[in-house]
Amino acid sequence: MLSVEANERLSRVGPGTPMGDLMRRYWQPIRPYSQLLAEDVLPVRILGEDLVLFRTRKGAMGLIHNRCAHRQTGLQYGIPDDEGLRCAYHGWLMSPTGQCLDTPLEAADSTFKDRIKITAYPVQEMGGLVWAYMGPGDPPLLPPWDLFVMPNAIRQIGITEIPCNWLQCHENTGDPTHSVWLHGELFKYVLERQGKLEERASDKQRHTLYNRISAGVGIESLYAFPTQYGMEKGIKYSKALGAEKDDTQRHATVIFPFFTQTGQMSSVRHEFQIRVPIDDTHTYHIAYGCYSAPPEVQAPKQELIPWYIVPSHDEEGNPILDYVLAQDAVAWWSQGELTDRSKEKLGRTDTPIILLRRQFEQQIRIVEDGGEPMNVFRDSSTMPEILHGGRWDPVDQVAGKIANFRSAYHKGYGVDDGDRYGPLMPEIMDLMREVEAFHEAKA
Amino acid sequence: MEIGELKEGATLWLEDGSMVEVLEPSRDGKAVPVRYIESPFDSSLVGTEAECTDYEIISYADRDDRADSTALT
Repeated sequence: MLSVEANERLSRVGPGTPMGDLMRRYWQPIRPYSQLLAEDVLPVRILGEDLVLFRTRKGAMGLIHNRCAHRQTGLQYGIPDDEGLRCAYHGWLMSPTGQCLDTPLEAADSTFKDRIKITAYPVQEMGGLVWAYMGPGDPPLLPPWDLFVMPNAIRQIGITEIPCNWLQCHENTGDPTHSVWLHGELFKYVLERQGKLEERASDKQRHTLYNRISAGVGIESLYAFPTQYGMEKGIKYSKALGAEKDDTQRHATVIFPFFTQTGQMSSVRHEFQIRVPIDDTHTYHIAYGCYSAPPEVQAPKQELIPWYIVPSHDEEGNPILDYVLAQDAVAWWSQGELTDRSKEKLGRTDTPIILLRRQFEQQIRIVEDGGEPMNVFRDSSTMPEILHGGRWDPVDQVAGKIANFRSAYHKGYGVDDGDRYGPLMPEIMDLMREVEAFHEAKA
Repeated sequence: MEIGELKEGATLWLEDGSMVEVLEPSRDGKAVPVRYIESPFDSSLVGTEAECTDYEIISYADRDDRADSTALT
C-alpha cells in the first residue's frame, strides 16, 4: 500500500515530475535501429513528450520536437534532407540539433531561421536500438549492459505497446512468485480451454507450465537485496515445507532503472525486458532477445538486428494468453491505466517490490538533492563490466544442455514465448540444435 | 512470520516501504510496538512509535536493505 501522493511520485513521468526527472537521467531506448533504417521518419512519444526520430539522407540521426516551429505541423510527415528534416507544409528544415537551417519561402536574405530552434535530444545507436538522452546537462555514457554487446550471439527485438503505466510492468520484476499462477495454472487452464494441453504440454518434466506450478511448493521465504547496479531477489525453498530440497533460487537480474534480465548465463536464450515509459498510461515494452553460443559453436553473423511486434491481442481483439509475455501483459494492464496503490494489500511475496519502490524513492531524492543517481556513468573506467554474459562459464555448461523450455525451442517449445513471432526463429532453433549437439558430443 | 515471535530490536519493512524497529515483543500476538527508523514516502513518521499488526508487516530487513520475509541470513 502506498499513499496516493507516493504513488504519484513513483508513477508519473512527465517533465518536472519526480520520477520524470529521475528517468531523464538515463538513456532511453526508443526504437529499433532497423525500424528507423526502413522508415526514415518515426513519431516517438516518450516520457510524455511527442517527438520525431529521423535519419538524414547523409545518415545522421535526429530526435526533435514533433511540431514545426512555423505552424505546428507534425514533423512525423516530414521529408528527410541531407542536413535534417523538412516540414511537409512549407519546407522549413530542422537539423538534428533542432536548429532551423532553411525557411525556403521566406525572403532569400532573411536571417529569421537563425533565431529559430526547437527541442532536440541527443541520440545514438547501441545493440540495434536507438537511445535518446532527454535529461539536463551533458549526456552520461551509455552503459553497455551485457546483452547489448555479448559476443557470438544473434539478436531480435520484440516490441509491445502496453496500455498502462510503466511501473505496473516493471513491478513484475519484483515479483518472483507470480509465475506459479500466471504462467502455471493460468497457462494450463488456457491450453485446456483451447483443447491443446496434450498437444503443447504433454511432457510434464519440460513444459514450463508444470515447472512453474511446482515452483509454488515449499516456499519458505522471499528475499531481496540491493546490488551495485540494481537488485537481486529470489525464493528460498524448504524441504520441510514440501520442496524437493532446501534450496535458494535466484531470479532475474534487475538493472536500474528499468531492465530485467532473464536466462541462465549458460543458456542460449537471454532476454532484457525493458519497460520504457511512453507516458503515464502507456509503456513501450522491449523484449530484447539475445541468443548466444559457447565459443566452440559459431553463432551466425548478423548485419542488422531485426525487430517485430509481439502482439498482446488476436485479430478479433481478444487478449492472447498462451505465451508467457502475453500473460504478463494481461496482469499489468488489467490493473488499470495507472493503478491506485493506496488500495492494494501486499504480502510476503511482495518483499522485492518493497525494495524496488524504496530504491526508486531513494534515487528520486538523490536527483532532487542535486546528485547523480545510480547507473549514471561519466567515466568509462567506472562503467560496468559485462554482468554475467559474454563469457561462457564452463562450470555451468551442463545447465545449458536443455536446462528448460527456453533451451528447447527446436523441440517445439518456442511457441510458449513471444519470441515465436520473431523473424529469427529458424536461426534460433538451428543455434539451439547446434548447442545441444555440442553438449551431447562433449558428454 | 509470526508476530508473536518478533524480538526486541528486530527491524522490519512495512507495506508502505517504511522500516521500523520492534520495541518489545508482542503482548497479545496481534500487534507489536515499533518505532519508525525510516519512511521513504513520509519522513514525518521517522522517530514516532506505533502498534503494527501482521497485516502491515511484509518482511524482516536490515539497515542495508537486505530483506527476507522469514529470517535474515
